[in-house]
Amino acid sequence: MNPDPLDALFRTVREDAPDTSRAEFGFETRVLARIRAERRSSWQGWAWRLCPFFTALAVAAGAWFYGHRDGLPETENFYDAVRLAGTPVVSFYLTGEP
Amino acid sequence: MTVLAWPMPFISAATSHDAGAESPPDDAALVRHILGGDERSFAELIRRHKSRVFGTCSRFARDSHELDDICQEVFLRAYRKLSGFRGEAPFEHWLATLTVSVCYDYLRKERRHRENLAYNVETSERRDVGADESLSARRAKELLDWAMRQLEPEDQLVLTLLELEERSIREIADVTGWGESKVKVRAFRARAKLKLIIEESHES
Repeated sequence: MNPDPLDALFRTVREDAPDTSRAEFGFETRVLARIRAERRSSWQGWAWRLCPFFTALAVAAGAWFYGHRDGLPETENFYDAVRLAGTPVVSFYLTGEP
Repeated sequence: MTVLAWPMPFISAATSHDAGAESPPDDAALVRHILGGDERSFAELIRRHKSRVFGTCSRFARDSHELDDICQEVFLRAYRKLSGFRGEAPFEHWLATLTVSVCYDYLRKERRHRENLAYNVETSERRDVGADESLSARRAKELLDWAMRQLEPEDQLVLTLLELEERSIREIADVTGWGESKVKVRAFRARAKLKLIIEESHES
């Protein structure tokens, strides 16, 4: 009885199991490196995704401060005061006497 | 080369008199440590199971680059899904199911992108398939690869597991999630199709 050619083909291929030892060398190192790379890229991805949110927040905060700047106290500037009022201001600052 | 240093829980369990008899942690313990953030345990898990995964994936991959890609995908997917491992069955069964799933995905993806390959082995050699003892294993593999790639991914999967990996119908049903009767029917039809493809290649 002739053997089924398909069985013979399967047997030939099955018995010739490929040697994977070279491909297995250092495999765990490569997998761990990929896991670390994926983890890093996922953090970067989140950072990039959050960028528009923080930009919008900064613009909104800037707009709010610009809109409410009249209600804020004037900042005292020593140099501006000296420039406007002259040496009496220097004397006031140094001695505390008018 | 990565030197494995066991994390503290393994060492602290050992006392001075039984330190030498400390057995390595089992797979379930390694999984718990990995879920706790210990990467070295995952390296150990890979080291234990990579030969089996490479053996299965080598039946599906065409070259060493594809083999490396598929095996990496198996372990990456295992790492991502590790929290789904309940420990009810051995880890290697869980990993075998995952391996088959990745290989099946690979076959489907490969089929979508594949061009219609022309097999250019000499006709005389093709006629001798199976009957000629001198047919080299490499030629046989080329012919089988070519013929298998004409089949549907499901057919390729079931024939590879049944005929090349020599798994039982029950095992194939377990790893694929199909019923045993579906595996039997699929294998029978796939075999018939493969036979026809090879016979037609002889005639052409």
